[in-house]
Amino acid sequence: MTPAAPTAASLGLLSCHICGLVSRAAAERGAQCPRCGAHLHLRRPGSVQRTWALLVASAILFVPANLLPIMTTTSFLGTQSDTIMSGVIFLWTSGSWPLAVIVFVASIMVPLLKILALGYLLVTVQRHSAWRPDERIRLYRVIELVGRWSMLDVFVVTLLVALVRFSSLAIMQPRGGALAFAGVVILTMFAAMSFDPRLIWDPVEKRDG
Amino acid sequence: MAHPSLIACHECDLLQHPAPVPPRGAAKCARCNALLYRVPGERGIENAFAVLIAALILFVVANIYPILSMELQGQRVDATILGGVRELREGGMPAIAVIVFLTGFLFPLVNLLGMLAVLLPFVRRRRPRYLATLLRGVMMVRPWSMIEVFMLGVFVSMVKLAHLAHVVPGLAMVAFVLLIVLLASAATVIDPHYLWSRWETLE
Repeated sequence: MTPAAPTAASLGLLSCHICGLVSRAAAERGAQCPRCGAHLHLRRPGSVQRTWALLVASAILFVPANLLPIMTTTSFLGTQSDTIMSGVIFLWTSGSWPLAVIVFVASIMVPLLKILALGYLLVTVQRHSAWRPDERIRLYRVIELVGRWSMLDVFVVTLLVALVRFSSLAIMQPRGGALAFAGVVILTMFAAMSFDPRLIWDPVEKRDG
Repeated sequence: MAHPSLIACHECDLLQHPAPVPPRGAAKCARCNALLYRVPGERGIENAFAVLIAALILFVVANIYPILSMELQGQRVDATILGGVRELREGGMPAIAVIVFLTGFLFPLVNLLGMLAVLLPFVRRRRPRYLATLLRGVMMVRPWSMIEVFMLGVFVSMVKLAHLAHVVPGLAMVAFVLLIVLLASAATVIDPHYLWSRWETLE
């Protein structure tokens, strides 16, 4: 790879997000890719605002997702409500600590760190920071990669309900916390997708002239 | 005006000349190290197409046979993804039922069929007519196709139920593990830069 010029945007060139073709913008508005016909944008439109909106929504939902029960189990011992955290504690105390760690990381650590990290990236982008862009882009890649694994507990609830619901030993029912939790995962995934990583690098070019 | 000889990094927008990449190689951005494009091995498209056909058969097996079976006092309960979705819907959680149906069944299926549709014209050495639409669909659906997350959920469920009853993995579990491996190997061929450069050479 030999850098031909600083960036496509600085030369008035647009790259297609569908087919990757680099072309000169005929007009600022309504430009279309000459090869595949996709609408072209210099940067994702409204990226920062949209990401903020989704991020705030997921941070709000994160509270009920962790406080409300995701499942209730009714057996001859009585009714027991399970939150995400009590599920982790159950795995830990029953001796399956590797799984307890996996569920804790996927369900609690990842969504929380994802919300904080995306917020951090948005603040640095809005302040036009040129500080360590290589490390910030790596952070963004990690966020994009691990986000979907947080859906783990939603699948666990599904399987438990499917297996136990009709048996004689207990009745397991899904509860609102599971829905709030799925909402957090979906919203943070959309937030990461709407963030334009090129915004991290734009101030670097300005600084280096 | 198009510049097919240039490539702009999709993560940092650095403009660069695509370097020649050997088969089974990949080009990385000179500045931010993002993956720019991959070049599959010789007959990579044909191989991936065959792998996807096998994956489609496994997908059927994975959804017909039980993933987990629980035995209790002579009673046997089987769990499948679609069965779980039905339980959620009847258990008063239709929204979660929809999410599990989409991420555990429909999106993986659309991803699989979409990749087959993208590759079919290339296998027949014809210029694809709807490459942009199909590629966009596959790229959009891919992060929401979560069968590997679902599989991890199966392991967690087995451990959680172990103290209650005798839980055994079903045939679908094997099919799912193989399916995940096959999908991952075929997905490397779905590279927009490579497919569009092939598109340019076909008529």
